[in-house]
Amino acid sequence: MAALASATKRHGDRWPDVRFDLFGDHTAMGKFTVREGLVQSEDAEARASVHRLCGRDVLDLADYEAVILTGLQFSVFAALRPFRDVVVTSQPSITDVAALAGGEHQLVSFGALGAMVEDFLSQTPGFALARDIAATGLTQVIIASQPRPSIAAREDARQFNRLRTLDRDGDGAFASQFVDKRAALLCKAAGIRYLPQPGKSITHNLYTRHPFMRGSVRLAAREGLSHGREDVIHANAAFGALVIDDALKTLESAKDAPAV
Amino acid sequence: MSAHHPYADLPDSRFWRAGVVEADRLAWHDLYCPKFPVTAQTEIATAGSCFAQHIGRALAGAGVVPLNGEPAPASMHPQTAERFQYGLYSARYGNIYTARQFRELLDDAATGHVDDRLIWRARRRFFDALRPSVEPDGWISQAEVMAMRRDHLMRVQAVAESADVFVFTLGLTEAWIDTATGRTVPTAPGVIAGRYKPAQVRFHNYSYDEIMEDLAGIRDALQVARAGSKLLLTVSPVPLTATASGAHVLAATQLSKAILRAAAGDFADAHDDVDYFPSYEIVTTHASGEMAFAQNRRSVRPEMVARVMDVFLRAHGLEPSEQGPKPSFDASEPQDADEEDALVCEEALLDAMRE
Repeated sequence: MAALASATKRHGDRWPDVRFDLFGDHTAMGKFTVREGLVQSEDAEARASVHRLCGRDVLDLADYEAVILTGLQFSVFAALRPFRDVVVTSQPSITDVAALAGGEHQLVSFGALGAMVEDFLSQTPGFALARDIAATGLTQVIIASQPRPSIAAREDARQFNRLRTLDRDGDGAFASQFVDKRAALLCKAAGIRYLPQPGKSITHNLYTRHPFMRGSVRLAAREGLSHGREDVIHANAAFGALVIDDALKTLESAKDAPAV
Repeated sequence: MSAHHPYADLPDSRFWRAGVVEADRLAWHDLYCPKFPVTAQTEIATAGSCFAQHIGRALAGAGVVPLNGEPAPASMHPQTAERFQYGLYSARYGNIYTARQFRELLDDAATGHVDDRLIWRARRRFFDALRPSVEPDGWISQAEVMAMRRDHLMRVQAVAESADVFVFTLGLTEAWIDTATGRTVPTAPGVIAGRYKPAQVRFHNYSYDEIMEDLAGIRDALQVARAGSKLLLTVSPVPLTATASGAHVLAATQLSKAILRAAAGDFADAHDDVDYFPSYEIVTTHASGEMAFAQNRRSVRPEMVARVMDVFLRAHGLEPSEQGPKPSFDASEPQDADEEDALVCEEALLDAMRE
C-alpha cells in the first residue's frame, strides 16, 4: 500500500483525472469489515490507527467507482506455500513421472494443487475484505498482488528457501503462472478482478527487479521514511505506478470512464 | 420333562425370547464375540462400500486411528482433503463395492500393475476408472492419471503390509466389468465420468461362489503382504440405489445382501483369521423396534450407526467417542434433504441422475 501511496504522490500527474484516497494501515485492517456499504471497524484502536494515517476511519464504498486492495497477505509469494509439500506431474522439474511414486514430496494432482493454492489465498484477510466489498455491488474491486521479494533475496540463503528451490529446479515460471492463474479464477468467482504483479517488475519469475524495490518508503504519516537497506519485501513508488497503470487499464476494459 | 436335549444348556443369546425380545437391544450382548482383539495399538485399515466410512470414523473416535497410507498433504485444507477423498479410507481408493474390486486392487498393489485402458474422459479431463470419484474435477492428462495411480498402488501396498486387521465392508454383488480389460469398476461409465457404450462394459451380478473365491483371493493377498494379518468382514445394510439385474430393486437388494451375508459368514467360519461383524443384522432387524433408516429408506440414521459401532467397540473393550460417529445428515435439515451429504457414495448418484 505504501508503494501505491507514494506513487500517487510522486507520479500523480500520470493520472490527472483520477482521485485517489488511501485507506488502511500496517496491522489494523484485519479488524475492518464491510457493513451497510461501509468499511468500518468496531475496534477503537484499529479505527484510531487508520485515522492517524488516512484522516478517516470509515470508507463509504458508494463514494468510489473502484477499490484497489493490496496487502493483507494476498500474495503470490504466500500462495506458493503448497509447493513446499507437494509436486505435480506437470512441473518442469519432473522429468520421470514414473519415478515420482512414493518420492520425497507428495504427489498430488494439478487440481488438488490448484485447490490448495485457492484455499490459501481465500483465507487471507485481503480476499475476505475484497469479497465482502464486491458483494455490496457498490463498487468494483481489484486485488493487486503484493510484490514478489526482491531479486536481492535470491542470493540470501537465510530466507525464501521455497522460492530458491523452485528457482533452482526450474519450476519458477510454472509456479508463478500457476498461482497467478488460480488467483485470477478465485477472484473472478467472487466478482473481484485480480491484478497480477506487473510483468515489467518481475525477474527470474519469482522475484521483483531491484529498480522497483530500491528506495521504498514506509507506510507512515510522516512522509519519506525509508525501509532499511536489508529490506527485500517492500516495493517503491515506481512499482506502485505500474500497479495503478494496470489497474486503470483493467477498469477501462470494463468501463468507459474510470475514476478511482 | 427331561433337560437332555441340545438346547438345554445354551446361553440366553441362543433363544429368540431371551436373546432378542427380552434382551437389551441397544447393547446386543453376545451378538458379536470377536475372534481377535482390536485395541488402540492395532494397526487397522478400512475399505469397502459407503457404510465402511462410518467404521473408520467410529474407530478414530474411540482412539483406534485407522492407518492412513495416503494422507492429505500437510498444507491442504481439511475440507479440500475431504473433497479429494483423502482420509476417507486407509488409502485413496474411494468406495470399493465388490469383493472383486478389492481383490483386483490388492493384486495391482502387489504388482504395480497400471492399465492405461482404464481411463475415462469427461469434460476434457481424465478419470481413473477404478476410482473415478476421488478426483472431483478429473486429472489433466493420461500421464497424470497413470502417475497418480502408481503412487496410489504403492501406498495401498504399504497399508496392506502394515495392517494387523483389514476391515472390509461388502456392499454389492452387482457390478460393471470393463470388456477390454475384464476389470470390475466401481460405477458404470457415465455416472461420474466416461460414456456408457454397451460394447465396452458389461453388467455382472457376482454369485456366492465368485464372492467366496474373491474373499479367498483377498485373504491370500493380505497374508502375502503381511503374514498373520486378519480380515474383518461386514456387510453394508444400505440398500441398492438402483439395480441393473432386471429384478425389482427391493428383490435385487435382498438377493444381493443375502449372498453377501452368506458368503461373509461362511468365509469367516472357515478361517480363524477372518471374522464377521453383524452390522447388517443390527440395522436391518425388525426386532430393534427403532427407525433404522432415514426418510429415503436407504440411508442409515446416525443414531443407528452409533449403535452399531457401540456394539463393535464395546465388544473390543473400547469406549465409543461421546460425540459418536459423524452424522450422515443434520437432523435439523428438512425431511427431504439429502441424508447422504456426509457420505461419499457414488451409488447415490444413480438416483440423483434420474431426477
